[in-house]
Amino acid sequence: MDPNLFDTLRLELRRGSLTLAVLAQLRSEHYGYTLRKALVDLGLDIDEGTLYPLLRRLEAQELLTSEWREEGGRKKRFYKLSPDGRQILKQLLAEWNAINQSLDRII
Amino acid sequence: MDLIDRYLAAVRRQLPEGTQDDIVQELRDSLRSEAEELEVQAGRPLDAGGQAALLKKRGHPWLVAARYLSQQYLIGPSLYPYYRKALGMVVFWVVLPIILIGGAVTTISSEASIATWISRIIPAAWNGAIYSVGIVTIVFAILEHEQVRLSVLDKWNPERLPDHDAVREVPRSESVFGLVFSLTFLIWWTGIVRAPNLVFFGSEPARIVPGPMWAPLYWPILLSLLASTAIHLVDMIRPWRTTALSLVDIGVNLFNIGIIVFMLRANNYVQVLAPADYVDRAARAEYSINNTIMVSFAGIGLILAWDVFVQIRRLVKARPARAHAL
Repeated sequence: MDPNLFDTLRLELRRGSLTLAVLAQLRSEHYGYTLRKALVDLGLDIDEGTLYPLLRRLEAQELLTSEWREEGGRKKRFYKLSPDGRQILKQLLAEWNAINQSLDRII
Repeated sequence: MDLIDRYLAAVRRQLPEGTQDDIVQELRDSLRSEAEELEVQAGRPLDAGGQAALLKKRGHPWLVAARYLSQQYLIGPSLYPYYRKALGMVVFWVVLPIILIGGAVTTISSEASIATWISRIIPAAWNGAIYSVGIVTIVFAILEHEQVRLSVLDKWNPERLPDHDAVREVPRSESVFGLVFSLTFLIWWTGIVRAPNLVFFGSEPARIVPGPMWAPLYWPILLSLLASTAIHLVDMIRPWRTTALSLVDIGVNLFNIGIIVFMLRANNYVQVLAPADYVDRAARAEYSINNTIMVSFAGIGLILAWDVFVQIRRLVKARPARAHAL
């Protein structure tokens, strides 16, 4: 068996759920560093190299809005869910719940 | 400038213009925030070793920047398996003939030792392989680009899928190989790429020039190659043969057989030009190359004639079956 198989499958499993977690967490405003800390504190480890490009991609897809503000003597970029993002998040959560229920029955 | 600034400058260099300030500013804030947290935990400023450990955890600047770039394929997952297969086949069919034909020609035309033979043939085979890899890659990159642009695989109609029993399905490997082969030949024929020199006299490569019999054949062969390329392209996009396309293919093959018959009546396919000291050897090389070409084309002619026969027989057999089905 390929020794990296578990890591590859785990990565595939996590990919979609990370997007969902980020969107859900951005129902309240965060900048990148506090967003990551919040996710880690809630048990979802995500590295910066994944998080920051993901934030930019979601913003380019108009699911997030951002603005630069100064806080603690440094400029920070604050993100929050856009109206489109709220709509998509609602749909994704419904999908997630349906998958979870199906998996519960299957497993 | 501390390590974090140097790291950010390295990331910045890899980012596309217009996004650099924004991304670097955000990364700076993230790194400084983490560094401050580590300083609070340690109760002292972060030294160079601590900064290095922090940056090492974030990853190489090149990788960090690459994650911000949009993903683009030169050859995407749908074509990659065929690309690998075509690459293997074309390299094999280029390298092997160079070694066999080039080896025979070099041996006949000179009293070369095995060491000399190897020293001449290996670079020629290597060059041939590099040309092949380059051409195949360019062809597939164009296919990938056009597939993306035209969305060929998205715009399809299930109702137009053929009845499995009523048509001949063309294996994807056959159409891909045919396409690559005809395009490779087309590129060589139009002079975009030149074949490597195979015959040497002493250390000087001989010039092998086409004989005068090719002049009237330039446009017919070009036309035939363009038609073959188009047929293979259609086969690739729609991998089953309609009667119309089979008839076109038969027509192209008959046309090619005509060209080959014309060629077999001539015999001066190439001339080998060499310095005066090597005239005898040049004549021997010319004789063996011309004979090799003649035998090869006779073989190709027979293969084409067999293909025409098989296709006609298939069409004739398919007609009553279709009539019966109706």
